[in-house]
Amino acid sequence: MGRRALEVTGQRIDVQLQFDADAQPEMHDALRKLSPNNRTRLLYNLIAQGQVCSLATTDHNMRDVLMQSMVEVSKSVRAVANEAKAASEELELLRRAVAETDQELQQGTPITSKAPRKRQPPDGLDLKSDESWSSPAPAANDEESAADAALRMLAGSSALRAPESD
Amino acid sequence: MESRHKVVGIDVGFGFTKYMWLAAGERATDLFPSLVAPEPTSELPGFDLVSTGPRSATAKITVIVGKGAKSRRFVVGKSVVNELPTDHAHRTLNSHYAGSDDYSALLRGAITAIGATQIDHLVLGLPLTTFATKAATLQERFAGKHEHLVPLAGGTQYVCHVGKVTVLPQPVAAFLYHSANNKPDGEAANRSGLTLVIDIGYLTLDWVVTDGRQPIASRSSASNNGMSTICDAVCKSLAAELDLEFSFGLRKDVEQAIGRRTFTIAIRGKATNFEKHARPGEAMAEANLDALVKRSVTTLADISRVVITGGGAQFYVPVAKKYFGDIVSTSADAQYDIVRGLYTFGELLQNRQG
Repeated sequence: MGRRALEVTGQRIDVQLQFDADAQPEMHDALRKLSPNNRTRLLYNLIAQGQVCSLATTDHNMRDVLMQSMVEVSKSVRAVANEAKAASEELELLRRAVAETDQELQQGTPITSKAPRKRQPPDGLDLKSDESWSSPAPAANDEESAADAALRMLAGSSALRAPESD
Repeated sequence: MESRHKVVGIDVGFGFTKYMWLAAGERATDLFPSLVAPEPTSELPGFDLVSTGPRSATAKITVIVGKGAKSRRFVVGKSVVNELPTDHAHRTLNSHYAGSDDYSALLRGAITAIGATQIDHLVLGLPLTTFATKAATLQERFAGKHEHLVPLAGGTQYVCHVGKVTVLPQPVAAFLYHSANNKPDGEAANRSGLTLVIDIGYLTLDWVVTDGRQPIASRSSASNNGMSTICDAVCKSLAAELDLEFSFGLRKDVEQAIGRRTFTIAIRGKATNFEKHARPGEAMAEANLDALVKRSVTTLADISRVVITGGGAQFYVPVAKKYFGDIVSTSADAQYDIVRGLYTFGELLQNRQG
């Protein structure tokens, strides 16, 4: 791949999209200068645009940085998938509402409002606005289970002890 | 000056006090050494003549501990060691630390550094050596009103209201950070298998074996074999060879160089490499790992991953990799792992409650 200019929070950065050995220092430097959220956003954009499908680096520190960002990206993707599923369910509700209305019209019964609830845009996925970008919150179930797991961990910690002096 | 924080994590370690809070919508972390000095009087010679260059707002934080006639004024912060005579600054290295005025001073120093006037949930950490005996006391002691806080810029004293206080074992907090925040190895740690988390603190060396996210008490413990014992040995060896007295500042330089594995400090104006003196320290580290395995981990056969965390992580990791093999992992700035775990704990509960 060639070079491509990307606008990120007012900073114009040139990045070599292919992570070949020669480009690594430049790419690492550019990525390190970004905040975690903007790094995630950049990677999300690159993936969404089909510019990057895999990342590779021999720098261990950068690997950690990229892995963290990629985890955030995967959360975004998951949020999109959840949103798509919700949209699909709403479509199904709408289809049923239309079918029921048709049936009511045919039967001469009064029409009642069956408009589906208005959907909100997915959190954290307004990729055009820096101000609106934030790490997408995990799905409610994930949040609950993570909090429960943390509480269980705390409860399980009550038995932890060590002598105050050896 | 209203500054409300839903969650604040503070890890008052024996070596450094680390804190994490939300600043302008972004998670922020900072630290200062866990050094406490009595507030100097104007008669104290040399004060304010030593500092050079720009000082951060948290270079010197005045804190008041106690009430009325029993109140005492202390100074904590990033530059205490440079700004006060050596014999006026000290670390507390004993099991009574969590109940001491020094601990209160450091904790209130962190609250002052954040500038909080309201903390809904304060999450603190303790080593396993004092967790069972001191956690409940800490929770009771630090919940409620913190009066007489002195703003960084001076001026009128203010109050910080602390709602709920939770105390976590430090290595458990570090594990929580590695797992809940999806560190690369956290993904695997979430799934299955046993994880050994070793927290290399300043005074204590704590370890916890977890099955998934459940700590196994019988295989977890701690000892007072933290980095300070290794630094003691290195300083003693270096002092003997070069015939020098160790000041607090020089000792701090050695600690930093060991922690970063640079093994070079300036002595009498010359860059001096002391790597050969650090080698026995590595042998001590290996012996410490061997001792903790024999003491309660018992076997490594069912350990799938080892997480090295805490301020001494960078020094220990090469030794740990030699000892445990390629199942060892750490983070780039492991000194903050515990306080990030404390904050994460508070944040998870906060998100659940909405």
